[in-house]
Amino acid sequence: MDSDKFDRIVLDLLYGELDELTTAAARRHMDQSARARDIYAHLRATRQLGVLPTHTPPPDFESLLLEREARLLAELPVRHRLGRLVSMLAGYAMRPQLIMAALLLLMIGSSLMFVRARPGLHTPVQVTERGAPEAEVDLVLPLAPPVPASEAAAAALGAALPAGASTSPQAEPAAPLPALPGAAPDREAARALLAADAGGGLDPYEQALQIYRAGEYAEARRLFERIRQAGGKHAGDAALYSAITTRNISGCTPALVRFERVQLTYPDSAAAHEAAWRSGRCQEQLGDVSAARQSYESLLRVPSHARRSQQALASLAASASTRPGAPSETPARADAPPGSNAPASP
Amino acid sequence: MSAATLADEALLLRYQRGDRSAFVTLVRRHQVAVYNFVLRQLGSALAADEIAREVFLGVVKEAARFGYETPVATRLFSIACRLIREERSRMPAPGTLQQGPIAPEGSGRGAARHTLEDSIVRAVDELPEAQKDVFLLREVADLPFSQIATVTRQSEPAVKIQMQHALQRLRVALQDFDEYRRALR
Repeated sequence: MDSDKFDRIVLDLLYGELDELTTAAARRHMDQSARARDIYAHLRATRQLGVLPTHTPPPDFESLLLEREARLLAELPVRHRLGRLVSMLAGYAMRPQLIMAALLLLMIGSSLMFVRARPGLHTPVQVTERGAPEAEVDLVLPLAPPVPASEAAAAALGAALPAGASTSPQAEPAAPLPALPGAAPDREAARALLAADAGGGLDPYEQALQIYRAGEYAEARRLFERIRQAGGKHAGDAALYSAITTRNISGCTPALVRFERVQLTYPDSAAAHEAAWRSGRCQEQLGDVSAARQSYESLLRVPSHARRSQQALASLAASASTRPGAPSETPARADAPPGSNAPASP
Repeated sequence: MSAATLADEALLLRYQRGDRSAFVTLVRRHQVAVYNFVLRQLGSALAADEIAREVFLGVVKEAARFGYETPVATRLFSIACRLIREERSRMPAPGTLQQGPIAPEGSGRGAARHTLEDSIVRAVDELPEAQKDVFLLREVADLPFSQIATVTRQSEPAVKIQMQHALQRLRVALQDFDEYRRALR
């Protein structure tokens, strides 16, 4: 260290503002330089003696100050008071506990998005292969008056009766049904009916309906066809159910012919109207929007089907408007995939 | 952590959030230095009492926009210097220390000691204003030179030069005293 540098740092040395290294260098310089020693000695002596007497503030200094401070705070402009309030709130908001609590709530809230009900809690909805709810496709309307419970019970008990008790002239022995694992009670009753086909004592049409409701579509179709061919008061309904069972077994394409036949053979009957409705549904499923619309429009004047037809037409119009690029009337698809004709689930 | 052990900046932050006890702690920590600084500058105990109070009230007014890059003590003495300049401009003539209120307390001291203190007080009082500011900020307020430079709006080397000149004047005033000669040894 030279004298110039010492002169620059001597005050820092006097007031202890130097780091240890520079202090040691300055002291080494003083050991070697009498001038530096003299300068530092005079400064230190002056500082040592040049201490001013300290006076304490008046006793009421603090109390008066706090009083004026309170008055001043009360008179602070709104923006200053708002600033204090914001600062106070920000001080609380920046506390780590609050930040952690906010993070925890955020985590809980975001995890709720992944919570879903257990599958068993949902209402089971079976759909057809085309994705439409089964209930819409497989709507069975009670064309015939429902079978009284007592009659149904009697029919179910028919299996227990002797074969000779049958009163049906058209009864014929039925082939025994294969065993159906997990079959419903209705299916058991149908099997009993088939077993007692020859002498069940039940109306053939009712018998066919029972079998149809039990899901034995092939057998039901055979019986409905027989009733249709025999004619009579249930011929039209039997023809309709024959078409429905055909649709359930083989899909919409073969069923359409049968629905059309019902409309032509039994015009203006309830069966014809229902056949027109079912025909429209099938045509809609097959993508033949134009034919489906015609079927629905033919039912607009039929009170029993007018409302449903209006809804179906509105649905067709809505689906056409949601596909602006698609043609409003899609022709029947000749190259429809085989799945479209697949039988609907029972 | 108790308020007494907190740094000035933490106390001011607490005060900004509505903790008035932090302000009390801040006042108790700095009131003696502020009061003596103002007293030595103005030479009037009455004026020092009032101005020192105004210094702390200035902190209250500025608390909302107080920047923490500047230490609170530096800000306090900046306010004090500004108020002292305003007070001096209102004063008719340069004041001298009122002997009554600020006379050294305690009467057991000897005459030589009394004379030494008088000489010191007189020497400080007769310092040029710039040197007096620097000397009092260093000796009474105990601010480091870097902060004195901030308060007086000078460079740090300029502050040190002022301080050296002030100490040189004091040395001249004290060098005839035996205490000074003893201190040299």
